[in-house]
Amino acid sequence: MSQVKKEEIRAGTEEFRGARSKPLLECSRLASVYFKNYFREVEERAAQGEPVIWLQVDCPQEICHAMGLPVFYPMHYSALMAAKQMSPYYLNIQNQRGYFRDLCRYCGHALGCVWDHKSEIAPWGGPPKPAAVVVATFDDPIAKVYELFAREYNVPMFVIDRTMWSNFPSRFWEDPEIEPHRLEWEVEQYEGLIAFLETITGKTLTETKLRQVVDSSNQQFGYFIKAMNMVAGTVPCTITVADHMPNLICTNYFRGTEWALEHARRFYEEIKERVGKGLVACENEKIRLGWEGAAPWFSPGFLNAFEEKYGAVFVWLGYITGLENFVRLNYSDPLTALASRYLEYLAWVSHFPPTACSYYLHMAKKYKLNGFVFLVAESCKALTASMRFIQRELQAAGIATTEITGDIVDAREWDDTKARSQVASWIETLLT
Amino acid sequence: MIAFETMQKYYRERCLAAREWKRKGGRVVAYFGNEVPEELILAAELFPLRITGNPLSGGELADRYMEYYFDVQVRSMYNEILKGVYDFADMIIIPHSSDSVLRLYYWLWEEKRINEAMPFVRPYLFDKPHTVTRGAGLYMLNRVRALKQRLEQFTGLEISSESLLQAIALTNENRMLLRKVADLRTATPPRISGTEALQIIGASLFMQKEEHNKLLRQFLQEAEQLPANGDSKVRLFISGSTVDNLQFYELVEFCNAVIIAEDVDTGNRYFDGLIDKSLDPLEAIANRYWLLPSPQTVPMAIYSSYVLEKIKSVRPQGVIFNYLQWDDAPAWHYPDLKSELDKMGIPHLVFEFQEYLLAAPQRLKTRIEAFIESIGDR
Repeated sequence: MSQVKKEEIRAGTEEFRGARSKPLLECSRLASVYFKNYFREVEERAAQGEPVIWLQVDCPQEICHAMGLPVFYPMHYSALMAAKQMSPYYLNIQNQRGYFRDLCRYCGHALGCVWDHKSEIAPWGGPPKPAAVVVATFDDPIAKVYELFAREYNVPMFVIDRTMWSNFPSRFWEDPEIEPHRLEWEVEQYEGLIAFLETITGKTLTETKLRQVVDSSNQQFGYFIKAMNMVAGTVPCTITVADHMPNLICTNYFRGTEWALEHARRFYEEIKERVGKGLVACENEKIRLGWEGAAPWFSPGFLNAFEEKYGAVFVWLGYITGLENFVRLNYSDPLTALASRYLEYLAWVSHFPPTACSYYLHMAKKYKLNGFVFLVAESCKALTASMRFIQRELQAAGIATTEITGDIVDAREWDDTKARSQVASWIETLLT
Repeated sequence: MIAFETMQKYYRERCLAAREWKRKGGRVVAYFGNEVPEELILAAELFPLRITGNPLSGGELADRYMEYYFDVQVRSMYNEILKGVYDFADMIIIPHSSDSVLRLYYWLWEEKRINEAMPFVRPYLFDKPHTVTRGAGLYMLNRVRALKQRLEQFTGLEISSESLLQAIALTNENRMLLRKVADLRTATPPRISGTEALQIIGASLFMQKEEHNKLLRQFLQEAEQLPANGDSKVRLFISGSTVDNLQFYELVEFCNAVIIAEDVDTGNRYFDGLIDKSLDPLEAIANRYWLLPSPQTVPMAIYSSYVLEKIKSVRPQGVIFNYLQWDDAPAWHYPDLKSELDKMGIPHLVFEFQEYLLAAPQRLKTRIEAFIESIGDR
């Protein structure tokens, strides 16, 4: 078979190229560089025979970091595939295999890349072969996607069965009480996960190291909270979501590592310096906006597209919510701390309405938002649900909202002109 | 066949028996799905009533807050609840089932938070695990105990082991009788149609179990007199989304076919798996509801194998996959099932992303007729 070139794939799929985001911070550049280097390091370690774990982001990655295991995140890779404009190609492969077009695309379409077996065209040379895959039953598709990964590579899978909240206090972020029976089983499952990883990899987890990683992750979140509190308080804003994405999201894959802690500190210092110097992201700032959920990864620059003409700046991203609630300071043991963190993470990321409505309003007030844009990404119920409820809450408080239809990774039906025009028209109504 | 006509009536008028029970001073628990143990509700001397959608009822109320990309059938159930169809239910139980069903729970919760006067009671979440590990089994038992406790608090009465055993005997009998009904479908020639079977099974979800068992016994006694249901018809198996109304079955069986079995939870899957009477009743109940495969079961290979076994056991001439819009969990199984059917040489047809209300069935009918004709030519 002749070698396929990336340019041919891209040219063969669509003409749309997406828009790059416009981060301002040196930290953002460093985070992107680190991620790429880390990917290469994982590839090299895999090539040398080290077992690589494929992990979903809502699993307790701190355990892997404490064991020194190289980790590959298919979810991040999906975003990368989209950013490289490869999603239509890989989604078509998935569809050709009989998986319907309306099924999960964000996390699911890494399957297309895995089934394609063409490292010469895959972003960053393609995923490293896993020794095992680890997933939590966050939603219907994700465990099925990981099962298909495991089947393709003929490797074992560990599944964390996610229990669900039955009750939410009205101000959930202040008092997120987790039912004891859920916490207990989550901890037991982590013990099973550790035994699984130790058996698969031959490496040992020490309680000392796990405690260090959990402590470090707490400090990491602490820096981000302090930094984002400063960001929320600056009008005009000192950075836009273009700088939230590489820093808050990239570090999310390295919770508790030395690099992530150092990076969080660096982010905090850089924000502090900017705020101290009175530096702003958009001199022309007139409208402050929130973006619900994940960005369209095939065109993250969409979120910077309204600054120059309208002074409309996205200053809050609903993708990494509940930062304050990931800190676990007074924990009895690190596994309980992690179990509590990830059960709560589930509530934040899933946008269950009782949590999401009051929290979004809280954030809208904190960041002094004038409006909110919701990306209706129909193939991802998990990340884009309860939009209507949230909009109701925001509108009742006088905060304008609008919806655009699209997807987090699938550019096949994305009409960039139409989406820009829709948001621009809506912004014009806010300016009058 | 008075027994069949009576079951038909309760299938059609789904709240009739529950409302009658309520009128006589009883209390009603509306629930959704095959995951909620009916035995606990029965043992608490409550009436278990399955929540279903209604394709003819529209979705205006659901549209207000539930996004369009939720399982269309769940959206319809949500609409029915908001409309007040279940306003007489004293308790609502929603299981941790599919993404859409789980969100039904949270959406109802939020509706009540916004407006306490909404015409339904605040729901209860039955948090069923999806994996099949020992830990999951223990968690399931824990949740079954919690549900028992909740029902006891609700009624003020203790649910004794004896009452649980009686409820198990009742539901096991129901399952065994329904198995005999299933045999009538797979007989050569079939004695009843899939459309009839769906109503007979479905009646169990909407009426008192004792009464349903009585009707089933009468029906089976008279079954020998049933005429052959078209020995020239093509024998089909239906796989995919829950079928809570007759539209699709009627359409298929109108096309010179008879549906002899299905994997859907309102069909044969409803009565699969007896409860082991030799065990502690709570443990036995937990095991049955935990281990019965569903499209949400992890790993997915378990449910795919289950479906294939069902297909093999009834030896259909063809399989029709029918997936409703945004009902993702069963649709993920399609490529594996298709591949296995190809190996087995069983013809199959797929309808993906189907509307809940078959507003324009002609397009489907044409494809079904062509499929059935192709099987007839083999």
